[in-house]
Amino acid sequence: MTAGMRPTDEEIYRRMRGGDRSALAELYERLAGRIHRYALYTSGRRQMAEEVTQEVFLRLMGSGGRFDQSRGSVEAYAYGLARNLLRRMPKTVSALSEEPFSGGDLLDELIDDERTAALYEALAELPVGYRDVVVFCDLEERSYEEAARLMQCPVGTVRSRLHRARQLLAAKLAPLNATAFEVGAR
Amino acid sequence: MVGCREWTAKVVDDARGGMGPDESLREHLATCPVCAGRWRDERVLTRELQILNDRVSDARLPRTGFDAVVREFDRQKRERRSVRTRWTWAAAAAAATLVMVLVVLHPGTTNPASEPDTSLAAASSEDGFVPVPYAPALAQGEFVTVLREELDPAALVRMGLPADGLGEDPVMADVMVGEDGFPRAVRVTKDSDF
Repeated sequence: MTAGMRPTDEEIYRRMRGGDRSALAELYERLAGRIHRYALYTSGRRQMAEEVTQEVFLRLMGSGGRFDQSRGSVEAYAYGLARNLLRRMPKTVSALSEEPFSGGDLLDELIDDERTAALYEALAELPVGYRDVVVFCDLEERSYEEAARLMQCPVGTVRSRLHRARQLLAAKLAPLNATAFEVGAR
Repeated sequence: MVGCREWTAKVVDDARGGMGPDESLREHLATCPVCAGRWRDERVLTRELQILNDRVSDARLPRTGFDAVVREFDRQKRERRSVRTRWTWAAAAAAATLVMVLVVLHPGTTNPASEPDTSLAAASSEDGFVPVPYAPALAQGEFVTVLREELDPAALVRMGLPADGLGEDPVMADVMVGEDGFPRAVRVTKDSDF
């Protein structure tokens, strides 16, 4: 690390593995929120998302941590751990749509709790590669390049998967759109 | 002419960007109901995803998760330290055992505890005592007794002592024995000493 430069996740990870408690806090600060959101987007369950986040860190610092820097970043590795943990957990339903949403224009009115739940279900039903690309690019608002790095695939693959994933999501939500537009037109 | 398939990427990108369609796309949407439908779906989807994002962004990761991770971190650290300590003790015990085995097999050569033996050897040069080879080392502070005995030269040979020039007749000798009764050194005496 050069003086004055922000240490990389990998440097912090190595310090943490060496027993540095402050490095653990720093890595948690950087990654936990992202992993938590990813788990939340993917599962739709707060408790599960919290458990997955915790488990990811336990594995990162435990003896089972098999991170290999030559194969990608710590962040990509952490997402991979989360993805595998989520895959082993039971299918989810939305638990986030607890508060009714109130919007202004027609588009907002289309989106109520039922739609949020439907979107969650549609997301959960997507193949993992498609779901991840939606989470990274559309929900976390990362660039194609960042998503490609996290998913360890070419940028072109990210782009094509995103288009296809959005098409699948739109198709699943289309019946709700039609109903809402009919209601909105009255 | 650009087909609908080619327009799809632009529909998705423009809808994701949150801006309206550019001039060329707008013209296409006006004439293509399929792409117009996709455009509408994409815009709705973009907005829904934004709302979902806002909701999830509000979700806070509870502090308890971090506390649990830190507790586990500390526990693992303690365990690693404990394992290291155990290994250190095990290595020390193994080294001590090895030294003891060497002492038993090679007394007076490898064990620092055989220092009395060394001093006995030194004394032998002055008093005429010859240490018995491979005899168990004397413990520090162990008392010895000197016994005058009539020894057969063959007995000296059996103890590993040189018997050259003694002939075949028994000789008088001072035998230094430890508290265990084992001989540690022998001094052949002249008949006149007896």
